[in-house]
Formats: sequence, C-alpha cells, structure tokens
Amino acid sequence: MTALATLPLEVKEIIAQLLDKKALCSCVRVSRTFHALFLPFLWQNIRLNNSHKRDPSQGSVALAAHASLVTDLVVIGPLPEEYYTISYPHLKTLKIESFSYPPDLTLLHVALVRANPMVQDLTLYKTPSKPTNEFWEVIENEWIRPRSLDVVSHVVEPGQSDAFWRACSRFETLSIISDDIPFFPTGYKDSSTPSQQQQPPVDVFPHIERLTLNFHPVGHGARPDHVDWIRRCPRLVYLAWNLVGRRSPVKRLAAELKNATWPVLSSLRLEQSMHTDRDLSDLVSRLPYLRILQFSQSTFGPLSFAALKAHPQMRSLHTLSVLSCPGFTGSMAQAVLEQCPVLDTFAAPYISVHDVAQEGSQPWACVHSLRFLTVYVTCGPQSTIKSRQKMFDQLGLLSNIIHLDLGAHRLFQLPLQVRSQLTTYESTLSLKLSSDNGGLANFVGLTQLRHFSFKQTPQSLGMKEVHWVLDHWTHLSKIVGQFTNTGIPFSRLLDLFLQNGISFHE
Amino acid sequence: MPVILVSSDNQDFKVDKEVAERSILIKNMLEDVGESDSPIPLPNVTAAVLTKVIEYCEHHRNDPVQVPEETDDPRKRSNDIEEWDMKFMQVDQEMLFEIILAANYLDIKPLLDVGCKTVANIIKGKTPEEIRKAFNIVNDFTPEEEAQIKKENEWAEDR
Repeated sequence: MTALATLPLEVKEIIAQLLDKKALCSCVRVSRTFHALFLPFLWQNIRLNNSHKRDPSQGSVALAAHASLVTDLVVIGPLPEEYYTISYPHLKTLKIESFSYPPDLTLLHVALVRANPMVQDLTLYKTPSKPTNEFWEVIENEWIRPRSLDVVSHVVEPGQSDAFWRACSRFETLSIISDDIPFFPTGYKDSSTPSQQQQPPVDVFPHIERLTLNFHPVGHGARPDHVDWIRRCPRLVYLAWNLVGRRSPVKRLAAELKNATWPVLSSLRLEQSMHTDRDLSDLVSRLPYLRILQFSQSTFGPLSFAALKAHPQMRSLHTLSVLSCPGFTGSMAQAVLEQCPVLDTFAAPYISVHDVAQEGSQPWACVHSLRFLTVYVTCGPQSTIKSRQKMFDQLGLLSNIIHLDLGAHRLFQLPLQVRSQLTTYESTLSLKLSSDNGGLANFVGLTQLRHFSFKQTPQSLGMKEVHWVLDHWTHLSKIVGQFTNTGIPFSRLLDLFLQNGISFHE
Repeated sequence: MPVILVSSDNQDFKVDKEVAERSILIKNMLEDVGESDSPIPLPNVTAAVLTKVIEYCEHHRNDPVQVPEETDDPRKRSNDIEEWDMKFMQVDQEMLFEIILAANYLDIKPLLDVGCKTVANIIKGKTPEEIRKAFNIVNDFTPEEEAQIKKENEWAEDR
C-alpha cells in the first residue's frame, strides 16, 4: 500500500485543499482510493456560467449526478432551464448573478431557491430582473436555516416588499447595496407619507447581528429614514452605513444609542455623511462596546478622539480606520498604538517620529496583535538619527504584521493646511540599506509580511534593496513603490518579482 | 534549559526547551509535567525522522507563533515555500511521509503545512499515469472505468 494512502484523513484533506481543479481531475482517475478521496474536493465549489465550452445538457447531467457533493454554487445566468431545478442536498452558499436582460429569469430564480432550502448564505449580484414577492416568500417560509443575505442592486419589485422584510427577519447578516431599498412602513399615524401609515410587516428582526447598508437613491424623492427599521434589530453588533451626504441619521443613531436600543453594538462604519466631530463623538461615547470603528474620510477629530480615550472599552479595540481624517493627528495615532493591546487593524493619516521618540512616550502595546497597518511616517525637520531609529525599532517589532502601508499617496486627500504641516517631501523614513538608520534592514523581523507599500514616498532604492526584499520577506505577495536606482528596466524588475510570486506596482 | 526526547527506537535527543516547544504536543506535556526533567518518550517517531524534525524546529526556533489566519487568501497557496524549507524537504518519498506523520502527531503546524504543500506540488501538473508513477500506485480501474470517470468529471474541470 502506498505511503500516501496511510496518511490520516485530516492530512489528506489539507493536501486536497491545495490542489487546483485540473490536478483534482487527474487525481480522481488514478485509482479507486484516490477517486474516493479527491472527488468531493473537485465538486464542492461549482461556478455555472452561460459560456459553455461543452455541451450544456451533458453539464446538467454531470451536475445532477454529483449534486450531493456541491456545497458552494455560483449561478451566472441565463442558463438552460434544467439547471435551475437541480436540488443540492448539502448546498451552503448560493450566489445568483446574471448579466443579460431579457430573458427575465425571475421565475427560474424562484425555482432555484425553492429547490435548495438548505442554503445558508445567499448573494444576489446585479440581477437585472427584480426578485418578486414569491421569491422572498420561499425564503421566508421554506428555507431551513438562512444565515446571511447579500444583495447588490435590485431588491424587489416595487409595491411587493412585505415578503422581503419578513424574509430579512430570518437572517443574521444582512448587506444591501441598492438604489431601491423599499420603504419600511412604520405605522406612525402622523407620518406624512401615505405608505408609512401601514402596519409594519415585521415588529422585530430578532436575528440580525451584522448590517451593511449602502443606499443610492435615484432622483430626488423622499428618502426613507432607515433608522425606523434598524432600531428593530436588538442583537445588532456591527453596523456599516453609507449615508450619502445626510446628517440626520447620525443624530438619530445617537438618540437611539442613548435609549440602549442596541445593547451589544460594538462596531460602526459610517462613510460620506455630513456629520460633525461632535456628532461622531456622541456616537462613540454611547457605544456599549468597542471593537471596530471605521470612520475614514470623516470629521473624526479631537472630540471623537476624546470620547474614544474616555470609553471604558478602549482597550478592547480591534480595528480603527481613520484614513484621510484631517482632524486625526500623529499624537492620537501614538496614543492608540500605546493603549490598545489587541489592536489588529489600524489605518491613520500619519504618525510623526517625534510622537514615538519623545519623552514620556510608551512602547506600542499592540506589537504582537497588529496585522494591518496603514500610516504615513513623517520625520519632520527636527528628527535625529536617534529618534528615527526609535520609529524603525517600533515598526520592526510588529512580528505578526501581514500588511504594511507607509505610502504617501493618500496625503493628498487631506486639506492643504494639514499637508503643509507634514512637510511631505524630504521627510519620511529612508528605506535605503546604506542610510544612517539601515532602512529596510530594520524590518528583518516582519517575517509574515504579505503586502508592503511605500507608494509615492521619495526613496532611491536599487538592486540591493530588491534582493533584500526577496531574501527576507518570503511570504510577500505584493509590493508597491518605486525602485528608481536599479539600473534595469521596469519590465525586468516586474519579471523578477513575478518569478518570486510577488506582484509589483508603482 | 534542555529537554530530552526519546525516539521509538530508544535514542535520546537533547534539545533546548524553546526548540522542543515548537511542537504543541510537547509544549502541553511539559506544562503538565512541570519542572521535572524526565525524558519525554515519543513512541510514534523513529530516530531518523526525529533528527529531521528537530533540525526543522532548530532552524525555525525564532519564528513568531502563528496567529490563526482570518483568511485573506481563502485559496491556499503551495508556491510560497521558503528556500531553506524546500531544500529541507528534498528527501525520499518515504521520509517525506514520515515527516508529515510526525508533524501531525507532534502538532507542528508549519512543518505539516510545508509537507502537505510539497506533496501537492508533486501532484500538480501531472497526468494520472504520471501521478501513479510518482507515488507507486497500482491502477485498479479497467480502461472502460477510467474513461467513464474522465467523462463524468471533466465537465467540472473549468467550473
């Protein structure tokens, strides 16, 4: 018996997961043992699209024969009708896409969801035909344990939204990116809009824990205030809301938080709303827990930062994203790095060498937890070799970092007066190996690094630095920045990186 | 502080505690046993294999403890083996599988991953006959059966 056959099953599964479909197709023909072992891995992820190279009817026969092995399915229509009625007993994720209209696939999509009530994770991606009431009714009544719903583009036929809302109440995770999220009738008698006087189709959404809303209404009609149904999600933990230039929802969110509407909310992502630093600080201070805060390109500034510092849960912060927030300073960045021991992801506009090196500054508490860091390092005119070394030392301790972005390109999103204070050109850390501080050599401990960027920072790196990168960062898969001193053409440098499995961009 | 590991064929190996603790199994055993310095028997690992395993752990003694990955590549790669590891894995097939078994038993995840990636790289790009030759496998399908399997499954190849 071959040694390969004697490996324990869990080890064989690790190997099978590493193989592409071509290799799996060869494996199932090798022997009976190989066939039994590798067949499930060949069929577990299937992507159906309408550009068939082989006879479509043969496909549906093969698919039906192996239906019990399929766990993840992507259907890109239009496809022949028989594909929509196959039932996959162990299907967990289903993604429905379609790029052409006509034909109207609504009825076929109803058949598809009816045939597969065991699906947990459903994605509707840019389907031109609108799901009907019947579609959502199947999910509401026939699906066994729905878990997540992800809709990009059309949600439902106008005027047929009750079943949609009732279907939503069955999910734990909901993400809607659409320009036609239907009105949610609130039953308030004094409301001016007739549709809002109907009884709500759902009193409470008892399962929703994660909610992502990205609503781009077309035209200038009345915009429904979604807080009216979001407040009916008592188990909400994570809320991501693209507010598209409106301020009032933020104030309403703060009011609801004051009423303890969401007792376990810990994570907020708000983009593009017209809120103020004070509005945001109200939100931060009222969050019952703190885990993820994503407020890039917002007015997050001194007031919000003060609320963060004063929050009893600041030390449990896992993610803070304040990119291109003009009010977020380097000393705030230093404070976060010093005081958040489980911080995993941090994106801030800049940090100054002075912030790290000055009298009274503490070592970063998150050196072992931090995996994603995006920040521009500014040296400033008074930095010394010693103070720059302190910054290098601190960065060099990030033993688990996988994504490090020190690029300067986002600085242009900051207002001029902030930018000019950073004296952008001349003064970031030099990565050159022969420079006073040793440059890249300080990063020898970043052994898990996969993505490194020094985009648009003035460096003059050459082949020495290229070889250093290739020798030391063995898990690197992407590098962004200019190597201006290599003496070889860009295409050759590109090839050199590609040969080592690294994609290279300037 | 040294630790003594004993292979299945009764050979003693003295290693630093830090090196031995790359194996989670040994790490847990040491925590249970406390300050005692009695040797640790490893009845499932021969001396030849244990030598290789210790060599790996010595070389990687300063690697950070692996944080469980929240997948940013859901598709696992097998083309990112470090050069030292690749040379380390240039052994005959029997030793390769013994190292994998030992890494699995001793719970040394990075070594198990490298071993599995090495096997995956042997399989990739080969026809069924080439795979059989590589692993010394007997073909127990009739030609008709094999043709049938090819037909049933080739549809899935580019799906």
